Amino acid sequence: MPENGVPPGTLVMLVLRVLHSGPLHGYAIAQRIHTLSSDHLRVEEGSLYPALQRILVKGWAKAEWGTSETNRRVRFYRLTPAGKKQLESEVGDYERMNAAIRTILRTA
Amino acid sequence: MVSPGELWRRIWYLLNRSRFERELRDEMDAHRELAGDGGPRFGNALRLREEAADEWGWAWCDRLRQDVHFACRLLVRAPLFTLTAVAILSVGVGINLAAFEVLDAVALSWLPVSAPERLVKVEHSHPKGHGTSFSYPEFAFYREKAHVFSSTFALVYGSVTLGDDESRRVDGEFVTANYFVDLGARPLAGRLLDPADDRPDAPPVAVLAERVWRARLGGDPAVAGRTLRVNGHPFSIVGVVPETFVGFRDHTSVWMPVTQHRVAFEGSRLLDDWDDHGPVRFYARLHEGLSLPAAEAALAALPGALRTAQPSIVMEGEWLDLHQAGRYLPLDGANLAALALVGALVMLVLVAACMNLGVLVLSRALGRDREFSIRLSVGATRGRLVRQLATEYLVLGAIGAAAGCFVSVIATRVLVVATDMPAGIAPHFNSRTAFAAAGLAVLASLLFGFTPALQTTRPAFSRHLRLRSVLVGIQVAAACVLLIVSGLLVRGVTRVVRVPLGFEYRQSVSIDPDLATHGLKAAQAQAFWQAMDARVAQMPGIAGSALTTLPPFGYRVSIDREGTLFYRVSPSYFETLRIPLRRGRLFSADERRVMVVSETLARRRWPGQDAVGQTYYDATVIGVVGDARTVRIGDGSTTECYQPIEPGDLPMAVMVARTTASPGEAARALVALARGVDGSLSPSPLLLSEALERRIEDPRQVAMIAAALGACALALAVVGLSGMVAFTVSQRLREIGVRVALGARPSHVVLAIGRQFAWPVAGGAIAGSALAALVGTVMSRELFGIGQLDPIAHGGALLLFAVVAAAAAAPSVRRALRVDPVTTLRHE
Repeated sequence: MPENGVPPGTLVMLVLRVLHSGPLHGYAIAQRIHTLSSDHLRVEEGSLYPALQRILVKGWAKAEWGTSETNRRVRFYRLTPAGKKQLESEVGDYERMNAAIRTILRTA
Repeated sequence: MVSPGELWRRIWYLLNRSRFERELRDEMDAHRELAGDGGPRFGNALRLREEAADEWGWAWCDRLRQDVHFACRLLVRAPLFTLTAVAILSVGVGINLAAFEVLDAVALSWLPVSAPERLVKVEHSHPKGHGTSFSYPEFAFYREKAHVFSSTFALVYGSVTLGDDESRRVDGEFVTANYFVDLGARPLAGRLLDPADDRPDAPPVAVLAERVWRARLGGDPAVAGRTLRVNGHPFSIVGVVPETFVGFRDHTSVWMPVTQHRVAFEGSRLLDDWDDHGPVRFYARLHEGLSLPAAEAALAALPGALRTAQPSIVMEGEWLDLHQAGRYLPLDGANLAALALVGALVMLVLVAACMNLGVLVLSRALGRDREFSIRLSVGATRGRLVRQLATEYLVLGAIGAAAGCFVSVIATRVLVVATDMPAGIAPHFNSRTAFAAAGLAVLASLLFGFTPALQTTRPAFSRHLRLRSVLVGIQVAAACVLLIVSGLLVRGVTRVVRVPLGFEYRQSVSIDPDLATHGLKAAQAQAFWQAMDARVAQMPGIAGSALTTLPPFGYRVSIDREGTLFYRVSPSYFETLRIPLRRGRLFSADERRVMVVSETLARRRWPGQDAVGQTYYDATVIGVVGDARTVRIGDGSTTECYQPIEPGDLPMAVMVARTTASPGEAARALVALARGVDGSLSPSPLLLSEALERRIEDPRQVAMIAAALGACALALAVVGLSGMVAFTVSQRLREIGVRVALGARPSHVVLAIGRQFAWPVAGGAIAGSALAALVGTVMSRELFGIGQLDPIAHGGALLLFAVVAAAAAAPSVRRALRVDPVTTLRHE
């Protein structure tokens, strides 16, 4: 299976989900999504940073500067309680939608 | 939905923008370094960064800044266009803004007195009618019994003489002594009236208006304590009222306590005379937090209570009605209609200005076709272009409105001086007018930018010409409406001066001894007038004298629904004012139930029949006289009927006299005569020719203002037209050259050009004329002297417009006629 971009509308949810397990910096977020999807999903930087800015403005995560494992100064994103709530609601929405699509595919 | 927290974060990002942009850049640089080995490619780093920063929600702000910047650059690059546009807009916006400032000052702003929102005027109504004034005892009764008022004011007008100057009368006002204190007025010198001045035993005191204090007493700072004779009776001046004070009446020269009325008018029984609804205007201040309906309800029982004590004064079912009095001009039905009409006319100037500018902008847009096609082809959306244009027009509109603010300042200054507006309510710039200026800027931008924007985004040359014609047509229409309307007003004024009024006023004077104010009753008044008659008959230079209840050029009227004025006159009235007898005979003094009617009334009421012998209002018509408009001078729809004056009318009667010598001397002699009969009187003389001048001053001012508006619109339309003709000629020079080469005569050339803009001009003129006819019909109902359809005003305005427009087009047409076919063709 070739590498794909993230399906439209799910990027924020995926980012929030990987942040749920602990603070990460931008590149690490992209990497984590890439590896967790068994190299199926690739996050384009052109969409990652707008999504991160959106998450910041919405107050779903906070950013603070720190050093990466390679000693580079990077910005870590930490999920806020509002972000957790948003993640739950987006996951819920996504699963309902998925179930509905699957039903159609099975029965139609 | 944007939550408060999010909004706050966005603003925080905007305020610390450079820091957040730097952080974003560092972060994305780090990402690139980390992904260095064969990782995903960053495209244009700057572009990606901007896309990310767009999430902060301020992209529109950047674009707006770019657009404004670009618009400013365009305007700076075309200084001639910018100057012209700003000049045109400043006139259109400035005049409208000035009109709004005046409206704001007189009708929207509160009076500059303390707690104006609680001030009310008290009037009374009953099922059959309405009254605006009270007798003083009535006022005193309500003042004592009404608990809804925190204070009450009685105002009684009196025309008085000051000092030794007996020929000139000024407006005096007798007020309850709480008047100034309660309204929060501060004296310019001395003190104002205070409650102690109301006591019955208080000495007579007066306060002067600043204007009078400066003119008559040289602004003496130690004025308090000086004595001033009012109607010849000594009053001691206690202080000066500043010009900025605005009370319930303009142009008052002197204020005195109402208790002193009997001193200024000897014999006055104002304070205890119950006579039907006397001269007291009743104002009051409501208690805090009380609404008008609630207060009216609380007052409902009072007239009934008074009726049991004074059944002849209070009508069955009478109630008190309250009117908001805290503003200079109450916005009731009649005022609102007049204001709407004026507003519409003033708005026409803005329309004319914007259509004018629209033509200019349209021509420029034509030159920018290339720019827009390129931008469209490299991927700009139509929406983006429209936004860009809208920004340009709004910037131009804003600059124009700012210039308009200056124009409005000058215009209102001129208006204040020309119309003698009280200093306290003079228009000034405030938050409301600033808001109006912004609104006008947007409106103007929409008006002049709409068609060019339409044209630019869908370019087509033929449509360009059509749009242009529409713009010119609207301009012409607006100019024609304003010209015709000002023509109607000017003609209304001149008609009053030119058309004979039907009676001799140049050599006539009237004298009003104000017997009723001095407390004289029918029998005493009869004795007075008999004595006067006897003495006047002896006077040299008096050709005749008579009594009437409606003084010529006065404001007292008695009129029915059909516009018939009811005069009660002595038999010599017709001879004195030289009103000719057309049919039948005149009445003698002691005839009753007889009537003389004017020609027009006779013709209207009994068309094709003889009026003499008919019955009208319980009286037999015995004669027909010429029309004589002495009261409603400009109103052609009124008619007159005369009945013999009765003893009951005599306290209100006024004497008119015709002199063969100088009217001024006759007036002085008559005053002396009246004082000889009764020394307590202070009669007011009036030279009828001067009174007429004063009567037409207001309509003359209105006409002048309308004429100024008309001139503005005409100038704008001419600029627009001449521009259009010049443009047409320059577009068609080559074609004209070919035509001339093929043997076209000058007349053909003129026709070829003329045909192109004949339609918009003719269409505009027809539409304008029709609209003006509509406006004229409305005005003839409200304003005086206006004919509904006045062919001379219409024709004159259109002719004026045609001549000026032709003159404006002439230079371009001459250029077309001078086209040398050889040069133009070789130019190819």
